[in-house]
Formats: sequence, C-alpha cells, structure tokens
Amino acid sequence: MALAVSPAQRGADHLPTGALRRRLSVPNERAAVATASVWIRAVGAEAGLSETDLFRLDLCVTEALTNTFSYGGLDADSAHTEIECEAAEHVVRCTLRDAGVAFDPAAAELPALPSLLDHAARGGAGLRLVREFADACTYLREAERNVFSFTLQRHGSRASSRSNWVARGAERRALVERLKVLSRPAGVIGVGIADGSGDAVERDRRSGVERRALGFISQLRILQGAPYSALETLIADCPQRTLAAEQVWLAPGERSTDVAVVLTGRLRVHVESAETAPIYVVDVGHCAGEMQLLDGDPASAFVIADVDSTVLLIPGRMLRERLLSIPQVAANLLSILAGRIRRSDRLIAEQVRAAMELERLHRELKLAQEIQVSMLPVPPLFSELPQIDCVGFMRPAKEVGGDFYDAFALDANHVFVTIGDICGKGLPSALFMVRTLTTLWNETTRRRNPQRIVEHVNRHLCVNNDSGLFVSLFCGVYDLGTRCLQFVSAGHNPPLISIAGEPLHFLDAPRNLVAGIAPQANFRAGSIELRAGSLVILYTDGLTEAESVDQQWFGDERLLATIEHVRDEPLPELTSAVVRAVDEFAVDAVQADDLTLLAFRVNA
Amino acid sequence: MKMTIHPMAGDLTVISLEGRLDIQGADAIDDQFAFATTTKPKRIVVDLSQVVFMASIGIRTLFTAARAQTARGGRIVLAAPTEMVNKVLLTAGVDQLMPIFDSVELACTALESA
Repeated sequence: MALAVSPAQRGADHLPTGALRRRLSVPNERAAVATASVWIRAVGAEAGLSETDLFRLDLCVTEALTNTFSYGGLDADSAHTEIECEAAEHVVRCTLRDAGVAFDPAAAELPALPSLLDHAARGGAGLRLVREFADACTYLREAERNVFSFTLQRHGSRASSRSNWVARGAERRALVERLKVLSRPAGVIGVGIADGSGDAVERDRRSGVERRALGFISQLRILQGAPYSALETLIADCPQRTLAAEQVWLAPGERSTDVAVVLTGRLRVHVESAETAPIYVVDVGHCAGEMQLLDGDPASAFVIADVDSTVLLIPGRMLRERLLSIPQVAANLLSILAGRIRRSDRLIAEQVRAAMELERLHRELKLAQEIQVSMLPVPPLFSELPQIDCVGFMRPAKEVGGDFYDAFALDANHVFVTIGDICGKGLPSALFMVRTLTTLWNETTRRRNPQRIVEHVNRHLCVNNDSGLFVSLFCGVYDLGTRCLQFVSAGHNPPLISIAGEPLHFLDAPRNLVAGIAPQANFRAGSIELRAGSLVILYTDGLTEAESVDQQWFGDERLLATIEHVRDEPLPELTSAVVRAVDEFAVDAVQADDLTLLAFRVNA
Repeated sequence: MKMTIHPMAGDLTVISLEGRLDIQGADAIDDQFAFATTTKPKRIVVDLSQVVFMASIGIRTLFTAARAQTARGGRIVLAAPTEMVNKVLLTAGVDQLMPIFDSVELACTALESA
C-alpha cells in the first residue's frame, strides 16, 4: 500500500513493505487526544521505538490532533480524524486525515516566539512543536480532506529500546491490550488510502502573524468568514489597547480614527449622557466606532469600558481601503449596520410608545382635574340666601390637587362650610380628596353638629387607609337664625375672622389632630357669634406658604395685611386681590402647593 | 497528573507536577494549579522532574501562571525538566518568559537571592 504524499515527494519516502501499519479513527474532540496518545504509544512500543522517539511521536500526534479540533472548523458530531502509523526499521511515518478546512501545518509560517505574556502568542506553539520534533512534514489536500504526514528518523537502537520495554513488560502488555481494544474493527474506518493520486491544494497562505490572530479572528463579528490569507498582515498591524473599567473610549463630538473590536471585556454605548442607561452593550467580538468612520461625522454616543477590556483598533483607513474590499467583511459590516438600524427602530418605537402612553396619561389627568374641579361648588354660592355671601377659589399646583372647599345649605336655617388640605400631592391625594368630600357629603345629610361630622368623617377615612394619607380639615355650621358659627378644626390653619367690622385676627380654634390617622380621636369644637358685617376667611397653607424666589413665605402677617386692605370689597374682588397678592409675591417661583380660599361674609 | 505543593521559607513555594502534562493532565490540574499560582503574589518553583510528557496545552497552563504572577509582582520559575520536556519548553520559547533551572535547589537559591 502506498502512502499519500505530496507529488514532489512521491516515491522518495516509501516505506518497506514489511513495515508495521496501524490505523485509528478518533472523533475531533478533546478527549480523543488522550485516546490517540495511548494508541500511538502502544503502536510505537510495538515497533520498538525508544523512549525519546515515543515522546516525539506522541507529541506530534497530540499537537496535530489538537490543531485539527481547535481550528479545523469541523462539525464535532460527525467529524473524525483518521490516524495511520507506519513504522519501519529506520523511519516512522504518521498520517492524519481530516475533513476540516484546508490548512497546511507543514507550510504555515510559525509565529514569533512569545516575547511577552500575551495570550495571543500562545497560538501556534503546537505547530512549532510538530515541526521541530518531526524530521519532515508533508501536506496535501485530497478529496476534500487534509492529509498531513510527518516522519521521524528513529533515534536509539531497537535493542536498547527493547530492553527498556522488557523492563516494563507488564506495562507493555497492558498497552498492547488497550491497543487491541482501540483497534477493534468498529473503531477503524476502512477507507482506502489513495495511491498518491491526490492533488495538492494551492499552498496555504496563512502566515505566522495571522496564526497568532487565528484564535480570535473567528470570534470577531466584522471579520467572520473572511479568508485568513486576506487578513493576515492587516490584523497583525492593528494595535491593541487596554481600557480600564469606566474608561471613556469615545465621547460625542469626538473623532476616532479607529474601529474598536472588543477582544476581552465589554463596552457600553450611551447616548446623551454617560449617566443614562446604556442603549446597548458591545460584547467580545463586536465592534464600536464604525459609524463615525463611515460617514466622517463625529461620534454621536459615549463608548465606555464596562469592565477592564482589551480592544483591537482597526485603523479607519485600513477598514476603508483594505478590509472593505473583502466581500465577506463588507457583508459583515452591512449586517452589523442593519442590526444597528433595527435596534434604533426598536428604540424609536419604544419611545413613541412611551410618548403615547405619557400623552394618554396627560389626557386622563386633565380629565381627572375636570372631574375634581366639578366636585367643587360653582359660584355664586348661596345666591338664594341674602343673609350671607360666600366665594371659593381653588388652583391646583399640578394637574390634580389635594385641596378642596365646599359650602352648601344643610336645611333652611343651617349652612355648612368646609375647607381641607390632603397631605401630599398628585393622584393619590386627589383620590383621597374625593373620598373626604363624599364622606363629608354623606355625613352632613344626617348631622348638624360639626364635631360629630368630623368625628365620623375621621373614622371613615381611617378605614382602608394603608397609604397613611390624612387631611387637615376645617368644618363650620352656621345657624342663620342664631348667627352662631359652630366649628371644628382638625389640624387646619386658623381662619382669619373679623366680627362686625372689628380688626381681623386669627380665630383661636381648639386644636385637634388631623383626620384620617386615629379612628378614636376626639375633636373639640368651638363656636362664635357672627354678627352682621362679620367676615371669615378660610384658606390652606398653600397660601401662607407660597414661596418667593428668595425662599420667603407669604406668611400670616402678609395675609392679614392683604386682607385688611381689601376687607370691605365684595368677596369676588377680595379673593382676587388675595390671589393676586400671592402671585405677585411668588412671581417666577414655581407654585409648590394648591392655592385654596373660601371667604364668607354675614350681611346686615 | 498529580500536583503537590510544598511551602518553603517565606513566600517561596515549590509545586511538584507528576505525570503527563497533555490535555488530560492540564484538565486535571488546571484549577488547582491556577489557584496555587495566580491568586496571590508568590515566588514559585515548578518542579518538572516527574513530568514525563509535555504538550502545548501544558505550556499554556504554565503561561497562565506566569502571566498572573507577573501581573501581581510575583515570580515563577521552572526546574529540572527532563531532556525531552526541556526541548519542548525551549521550542515553544518558554525559557524567554520563565527561567528554567537544572534543579529545584538551583531554582530556590535563585529565587531566594532575587
């Protein structure tokens, strides 16, 4: 049987017909390398090789096989490597056949010896070992298969190695047994070895520097599938850069002359600010910075190392002039850009959806505000009662407020006035305000005593109030006959009052807890006679605590002085004047709280 | 593949490897060896006298340790490889990264005086 060798060597190295021949087929996977080691040592031992030659044989088979399953691009499930070993008196030849991508280990340039402890330098060590430890290597491509042969000139005499084996007879017998197991017909693929008729493929052009990159080139998205021969010198010229975690590689407005391909670690990309959530993450094998290289505009985003990272910097000029002319690289770049566009589309769609959702919420809040405002009475109040005038005003700080007021007749002789301020703002307060108002309405249908009304309202508000909201509340019941105002203040600001033209002062109301906190709380009431010409101003703290730009409060004294100034004006003018005074005081400042006011006057 | 750690004086450690440093051997000791050689800065002698076979995968194991020690300010040297293992180490250029001494004693002396 003739051995397949390259045409140039055919005939030169034919082994004698009496040579020992053994074959083994192993799957292309890690575990098979150990199997092949055991087998080749057994074959070598059978042929009487010296320890040194066994080492060489073992090493060359190990490395050649490792190379095949590491770089061969084989489908591990189906791919096998066939190993044939022939041993004659002075020479041993081993041939490996695999169906991986064409690669000539015999011709490939060796990488430079490692000069720094860089993992890229490790690749190719195995290849160097085979070439150093074998005396000759040949390669040809035959029937879609790599056929790699190496020969060893035997060192040391058969006799000395035999004695060596005699001394370890038991071990040798064990090896021979294992050899029998490994060489069972099932383990051997009985392919006919071509009679030197295979055609040598075009010489593999993969270079040593490229071999250095071989380990990671296949992982680089932008270079995937490109022929190594086209990349070899290019990639070797690309510098690597290490980035510490959080180091900014590129910021908006900057121009980089390189595309960064992540070798280790991870980059993240932010738009607008580095503080916002990243729009995407660039993992190992993926690249950043290609957009600004292609269109020449400055970067539009932040590119930041998420963890300690290493990047391969591909100069823009090389990308444009050399790499993009490789069809597979161009296709990869288009695919990357298509992915970016899809991602942008997705982000835009999400933002549009979020904007629509926000728009819908705004519309609903607007509606909520309308409903809330519609719950408050519309002036003029008590137009059917000549004995009294009453005007209310409420302006929420946000779309919906937590303040309220109300005024209505309980019966022919009694009117009810109230003002309240829910703690907090926004929708929860607005809902609690609705609850307070409806409870008040409910309680006032059956009671005339403000103390009882507040006690019951308080009890109702305490039920199912897990969010702990509460309300400061002032309730008054005015008897049109006796002109007596009975009132309860549940933690509310003291009203301003003037009895029959006397000076304005803050009503000294009994102090009580706010409502909604303690269901068993007692509320003390007060009463005062409001003769003709008396004026009562109910308000919330949004008025006294209105802030100016220099953080001054409008305050009690200013409120007192303002109202004193307009106390004889009709109530609509009076309330307008107060609101105007507050607005002028707080000009340009953001209104922080609802502004609510209820004015009540007893006519002559 | 067997691995034994012998703590010596100070931060000096001798790690003895025994068996075949091929794929299986490297798989067998990688975690243990990496833990012993990469976690803290040390001065380490790797005793290769009982290593009967060395493949490129084993060189990677040694490189990993050397890289970690270099980064941490420690030192790692190799000692007493057999003739063939030594040839593998020289062929792969390991001697350019890690000094190789003929014996464990020479290696320890060199590290102690370093």
